[in-house]
Amino acid sequence: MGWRSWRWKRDQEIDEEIAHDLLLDAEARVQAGVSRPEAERASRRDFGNIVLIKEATRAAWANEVHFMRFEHFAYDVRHALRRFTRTPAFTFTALAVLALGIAANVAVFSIANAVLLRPPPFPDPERVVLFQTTSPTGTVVSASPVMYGHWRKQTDVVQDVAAFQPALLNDTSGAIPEQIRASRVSADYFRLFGAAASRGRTFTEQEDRPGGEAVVVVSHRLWTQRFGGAEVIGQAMRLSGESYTIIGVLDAAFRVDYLGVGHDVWLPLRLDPESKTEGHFFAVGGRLRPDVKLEQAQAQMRLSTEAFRREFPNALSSNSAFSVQPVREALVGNTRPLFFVLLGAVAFVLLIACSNLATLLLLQGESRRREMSVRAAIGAGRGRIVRQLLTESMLLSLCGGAAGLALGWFAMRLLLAIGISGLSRLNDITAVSLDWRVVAFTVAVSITTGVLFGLVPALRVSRADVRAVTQSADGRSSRGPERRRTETVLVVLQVSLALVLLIGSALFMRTVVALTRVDAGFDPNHVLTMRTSLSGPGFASAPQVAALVRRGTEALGSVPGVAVVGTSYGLPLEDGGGLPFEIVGRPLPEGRPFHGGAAWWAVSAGYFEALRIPVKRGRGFTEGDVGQNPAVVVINDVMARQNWPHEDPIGKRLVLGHGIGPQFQDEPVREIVGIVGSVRAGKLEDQPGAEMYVPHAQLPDVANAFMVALAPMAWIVRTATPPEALARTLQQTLQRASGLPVSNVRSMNEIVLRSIFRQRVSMWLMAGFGAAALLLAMIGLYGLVAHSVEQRTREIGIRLALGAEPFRVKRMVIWQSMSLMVAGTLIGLLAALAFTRLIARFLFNVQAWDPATFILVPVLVGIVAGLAVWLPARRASRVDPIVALRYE
Amino acid sequence: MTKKAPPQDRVELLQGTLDMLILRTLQWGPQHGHGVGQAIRHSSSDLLHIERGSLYPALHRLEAQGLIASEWKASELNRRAKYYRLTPRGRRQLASEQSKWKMLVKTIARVMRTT
Repeated sequence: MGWRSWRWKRDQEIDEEIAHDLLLDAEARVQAGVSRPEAERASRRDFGNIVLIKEATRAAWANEVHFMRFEHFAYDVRHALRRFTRTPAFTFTALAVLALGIAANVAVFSIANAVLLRPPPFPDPERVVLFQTTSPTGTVVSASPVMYGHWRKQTDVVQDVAAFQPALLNDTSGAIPEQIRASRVSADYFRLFGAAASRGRTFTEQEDRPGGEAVVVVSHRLWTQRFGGAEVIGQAMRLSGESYTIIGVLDAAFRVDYLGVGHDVWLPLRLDPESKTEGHFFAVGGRLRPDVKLEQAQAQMRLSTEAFRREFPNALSSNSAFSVQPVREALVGNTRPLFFVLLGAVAFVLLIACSNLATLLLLQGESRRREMSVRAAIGAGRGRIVRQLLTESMLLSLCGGAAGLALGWFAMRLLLAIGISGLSRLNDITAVSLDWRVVAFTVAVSITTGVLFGLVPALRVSRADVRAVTQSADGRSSRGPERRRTETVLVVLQVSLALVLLIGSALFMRTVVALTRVDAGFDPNHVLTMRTSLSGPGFASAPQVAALVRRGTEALGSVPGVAVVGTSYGLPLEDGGGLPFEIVGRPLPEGRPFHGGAAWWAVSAGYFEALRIPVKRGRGFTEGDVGQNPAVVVINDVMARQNWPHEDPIGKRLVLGHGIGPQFQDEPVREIVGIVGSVRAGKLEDQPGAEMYVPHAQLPDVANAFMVALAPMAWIVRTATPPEALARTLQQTLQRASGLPVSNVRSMNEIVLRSIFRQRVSMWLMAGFGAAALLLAMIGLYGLVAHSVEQRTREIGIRLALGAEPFRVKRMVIWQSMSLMVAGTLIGLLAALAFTRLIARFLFNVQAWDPATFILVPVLVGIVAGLAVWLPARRASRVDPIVALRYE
Repeated sequence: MTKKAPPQDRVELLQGTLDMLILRTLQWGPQHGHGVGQAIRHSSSDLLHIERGSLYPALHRLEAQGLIASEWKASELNRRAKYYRLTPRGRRQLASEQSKWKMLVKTIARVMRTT
């Protein structure tokens, strides 16, 4: 028997019980000599308010028995639903407002959840750390073999220290070579990140040494897609010309999204434990020992820097120190402030939505005065009425929350599809999913919203005056033109919040514009880039690479529309490396084997022209700069200014990269033959530093082999027409000419935009929030003014009848409403001044209190507000006095 | 029809006191709602006139709390009526309430005497 029929039965019993009581009482009166009808009447009168008593008796159960509490709740819910279906316009508006506000929250929170809150997908993630070198200029994660060796020795604080490095290889197993994303890792990598082999095994220490067996571990995805899940252990895979034996398949549970793009194969990194190489080219992670705290490990790392410096005096600058940081912190730490800004923005939007709804409910509450008074008259306590009204607003907000959850989910998938993952190296879309945290967050937000916008109207409306019902014949408020303090405050609040958001988004917009206008030192228009991986024995020597470059350049150059072709081992704003240099003939500074460091690029002859990097003095590279001819180098003007402030650097000689490892031991003495313009190769907002360029063809073979294994070669093609049209042709041409798979076909403009992706996303999000906020605030303003005009129709009618000009009436309405606007604007400006300081760090070339923005945005808002106010004002002036006076 | 005591002699009852009076009344055997009201009135010489509006909710509350139990029996009118009786828990509650009440009275009396 369900609880509902149980309750019905109990209600029947209560009725029967009370009927019996009445009967007994009447019997007693009849015995005393009263007539039966009179006795029954007297009994009923004497009993009291039967309806109320029955209700109170029923309530006795509701208060005690826990699940029976639902009886009142269920009643409230049913009643609320009935009301909503009877006022579809209100319901729809409220749900839409709620859904929008909550959807924004859900979208931002889901991403924040995946990036900041959800634990990384390996065991005990808080104890997995990345090793870093910190200095006043910043933090560097890339490490050198000597650092790796040093860190492995810190066994009292860390264990399972592993090195890893991403690589792009060519899978030449099949007929058509394909590119495959790989990671070169040390043997401990799998244990560190809890990657278990579902078949076979992972590397041993022996296989990880130079000269060890050529083995490879494949991912679950590759195993199912390429090999169809068949038995692959022991099979051979040809990667970049070498044959590797597959020794294991990783479990599907291991997700690499946390550390970079999805990899499909893992090769041994084969670091020589005795290596004295000081060049950085991989990352190192480790796990804190069980009983060690992070602070202990940090302190130990800092101390060990001294020991390291003693052994390798030139490997670190004097103010650098080692440290460790939890993986998540290291990867997303710099994103956290931005997320908080965005969460703050959505909170604002939600707040505006709430106050909008509260206003709506308040205005609507007046027409429910009668209903409330009747309820109060038959005995419903104020608490009861408030509870019923809150139930209504809760129901609204929960439904709106459900709609918002769905809407937000789709919006977020959309955001991801356009690549928001660039925000913090999370590239796996499936990492952001609808888990319980997001749902719980949505429910919490919905409930809070419901309480927020429902409480004030509930309290107000429940303060019903019984007399008000009897006085005003139509049940409407008898208060006349009201001051409406609460609604006014709410509208002013909405306007000021919207203003803050709009100013914030305007500042972000100006930042993005400023960034796109920055002179990066090269011309990104009409340039297409592509990547080929040259890893493998076929390109180990510089002449081999030079031959490929010649072939490719000729083939590409013959495509109509192509102007210049250049190559490089990195692209500005994407990747690159650096080397120390020594100026020949100049005494070295105290205790250091070089004069400084600079960004280092190995490029082809066409590089400068392809990117339109101006050659300011001397010359660029030509076909003549090959191995047999004198070694040359080109520097940028920053480097020239820094090192030769009063001399001409042309003709001076440099030695690059000596002492950092065997790869650059054979570097010849190079003569400076040219000075080029500086390029902002790191971040657009950073000033360019010292840069040096050497020709591909003049790399010593050892250095060449090192570079081809480390980085894919970038082909830079300048076209006469927009490059996108030629993309496919160019890709195929290069593929045919080189015999290598070609990937990452992108225009240089796209790369530039990608580099400022975070700022652009922030701008779009803030602009979206700002627009939504403005819309809501204007709806609120319009609603308030329209309602006010409606309430004052009689007064306006009288004025008009007495001869007032319609234009004056209009002006009166506008004046009174615009004072609201002015108040909101002033408050908003003050608030904006306070809040924009929080986003100052994200801005570029624009002040947090930028006067132009602070003047223009309020003007814009004022214009829109004027429109919102003008419409009802016009209606006011059009009131027909006769109709108004008859209007009851 | 018994006369009601004049209003100023009527004693305001707290909720807990009413519960205690009901439990005490039922000590002497099962009774229906009307009967409980009558019994309280009689035993207080008509000083306590329990409003039905308080009595029935109180009876049901006590039943929901498990201090009294009910069954439907034939009444003196030969109709079905709901009879309440004390449960063991109710008996225990009554005992503890009575001792608390005695303590309260003693304390108040002591306070009152000293002033």
